Amino acid sequence: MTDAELLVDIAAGQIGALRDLYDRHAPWLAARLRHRSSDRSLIEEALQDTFVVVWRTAGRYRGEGDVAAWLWGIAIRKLIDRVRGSRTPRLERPSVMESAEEAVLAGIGYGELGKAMARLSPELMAVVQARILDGLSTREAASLLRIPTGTVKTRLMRAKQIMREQLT
Amino acid sequence: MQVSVTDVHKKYGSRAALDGVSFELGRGITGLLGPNGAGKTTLLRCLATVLAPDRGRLEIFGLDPDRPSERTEIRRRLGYLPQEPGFYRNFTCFDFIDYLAILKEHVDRSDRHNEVRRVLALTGLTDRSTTKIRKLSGGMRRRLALAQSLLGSPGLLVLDEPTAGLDPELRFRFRELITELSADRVVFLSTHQTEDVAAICDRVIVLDSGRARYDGTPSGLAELARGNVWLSNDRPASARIYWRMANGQYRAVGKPPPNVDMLEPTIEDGYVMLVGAAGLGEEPAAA
Amino acid sequence: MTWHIDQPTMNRYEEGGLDRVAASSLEAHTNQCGQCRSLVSVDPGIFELQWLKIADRIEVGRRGLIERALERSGVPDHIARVVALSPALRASFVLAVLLVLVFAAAASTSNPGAGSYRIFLIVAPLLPVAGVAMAFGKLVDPAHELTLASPIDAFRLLLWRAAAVLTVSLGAAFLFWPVVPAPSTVGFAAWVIPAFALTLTTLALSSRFEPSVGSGIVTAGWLLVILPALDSGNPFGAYAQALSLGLAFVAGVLFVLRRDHFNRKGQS
Repeated sequence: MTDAELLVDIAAGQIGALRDLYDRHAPWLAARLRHRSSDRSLIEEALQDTFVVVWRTAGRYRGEGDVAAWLWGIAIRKLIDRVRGSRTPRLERPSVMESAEEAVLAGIGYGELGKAMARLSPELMAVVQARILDGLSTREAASLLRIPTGTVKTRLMRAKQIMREQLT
Repeated sequence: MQVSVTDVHKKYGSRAALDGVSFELGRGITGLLGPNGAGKTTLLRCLATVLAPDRGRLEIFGLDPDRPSERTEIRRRLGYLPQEPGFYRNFTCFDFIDYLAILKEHVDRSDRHNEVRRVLALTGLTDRSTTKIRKLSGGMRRRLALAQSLLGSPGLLVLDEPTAGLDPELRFRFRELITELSADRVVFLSTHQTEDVAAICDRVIVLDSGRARYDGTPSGLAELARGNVWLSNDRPASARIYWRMANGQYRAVGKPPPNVDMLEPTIEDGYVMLVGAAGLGEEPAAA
Repeated sequence: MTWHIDQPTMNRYEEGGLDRVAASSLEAHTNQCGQCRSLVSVDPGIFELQWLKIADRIEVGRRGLIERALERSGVPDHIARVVALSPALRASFVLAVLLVLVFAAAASTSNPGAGSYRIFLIVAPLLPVAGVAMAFGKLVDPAHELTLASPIDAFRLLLWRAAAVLTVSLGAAFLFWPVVPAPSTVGFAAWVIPAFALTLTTLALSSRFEPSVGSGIVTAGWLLVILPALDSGNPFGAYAQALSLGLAFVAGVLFVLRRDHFNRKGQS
């Protein structure tokens, strides 16, 4: 069964389907979350939160983008919630990934990209990761990185400019 | 033998529901066959230790249900599916089984939840764990009732008409399920349908008017009707019971007239011979 | 997809051995490629444990208000579950009790000079009796047969539930007691002691009859004794209370002595 088909079954109340989705995705989600936080117990809890949210909102997934990307969007936000100690559910509505940049990043392979991104300073790199790779909104990235939203915007613009110069 | 029933009597007012029943049960599936009102439910309730007989002895796993502490120990090793399993309709499947698991003394929460999931999986109800009972079909509710009887992997399963009211396909699947679960256990199920007996029972006891009329193998029960099942072209006058066949002939059970074609007896024929015989006051069949 | 990740690269990623750029690229790729996602290492034991926590959050029903209150006051969770299931602890019962008390209190104040306060004293002890009627038994509990066949001690179950019923009914009655215009010589013992006596009698009778039948007998008995006595004297004085106490004691002893009769029908 495809991930999307599993979500249909999950929305119909079949916990077995959630188990299958969990088996498929939890390992890599956990691995990826470990690159965002070093606190294992927080990651565990965020992962649990993620799948509980999936159980409740599976019906709302409308097929935009990969299920994997949708799951990651939930997982990273749950991690942010846990890191900041808040328990209120935030923005369970998935945000649309910036597909253009994503495609570029995913498709090129890290040879070319490496050269481009190596030119970025750590601050610019952090914004690129938060906004593009993790798909966070400007406001979410700002609260995660603890910088003003204006700074997020300008840094992202600068980063894109540098990468464009390198890739062309 | 794991279970022994000796000369059990139970009266309701002037009516004797059980009138001196004795038998033993070992591992495997034993069917209790009998018409409605024969005392099957009363007998099963006694075995489930829910009802005390007026007279007679019961021994389950060597324990005596008349003694409170032994009764409790029997109940720890017993699974019971009553004729009308009551449900809390607003509960989900999970919560209902969880509650019954608490009644069965599964005190530790995570062990209990594992056990709940195990029995739900055994009866194919995993994907219904969060569904409220009032939204379940009749067949699924029956499966849920069977699931609770499996909590704690009991050594004795007492099932009161587990297939009653189910449509043929569900009945078939239920029988398969019971067969799978009967390995290494004593299963005692009551039914008034001979197909259940034919399909899955290693042994059968026929109960009528509070007495055991037969106690043996299903094929032995069929044998009782040998020489009493014949083919008739017209409606057989001397038959105790007859069926019209597809080709217009009749299958008759009873005392055959001379010069007729005999047919192979089935369990149903044997059952009819027995129950009819009891009604006419003839000697009950030997085991 | 023009390129894929190989296992050594994934391993390095998991160990943190890839630089940020390479890691970002790998992550972007796995967002879209299931084949490469499956290269991640898995510890089945840990993931199974994690799954159970998720399943618990989804499958285990939310605990009701009363259940949580019981657990917080130190009752183990499995007992709290069983007690909270008493029909007598449902919102509908509590509401009914409150309604009856409102009427009883109002009726009590209707004619203080003529002793209308005694209406409250007659009604209040009957509330826990009604609660016990709903705590146990085949008429009120759909799963009664299964409860009987369980190893759990039916006597203790009934005791827990009766205690809950008493707490709720008497607690509610105490809320209304200040409003009742009883003379200063009549304290709350005038209805609390009979409440215990009637409840214990109902419990003792439940070892022989269905609780609903037992409570019917007790209610009828109470009214038959009290109502005529209203004219001839004071049925709520010290003498009457001593009698109630005696009844409570006898009933309590009987209840305990017959503890084995609650979990089996027809037990002689």
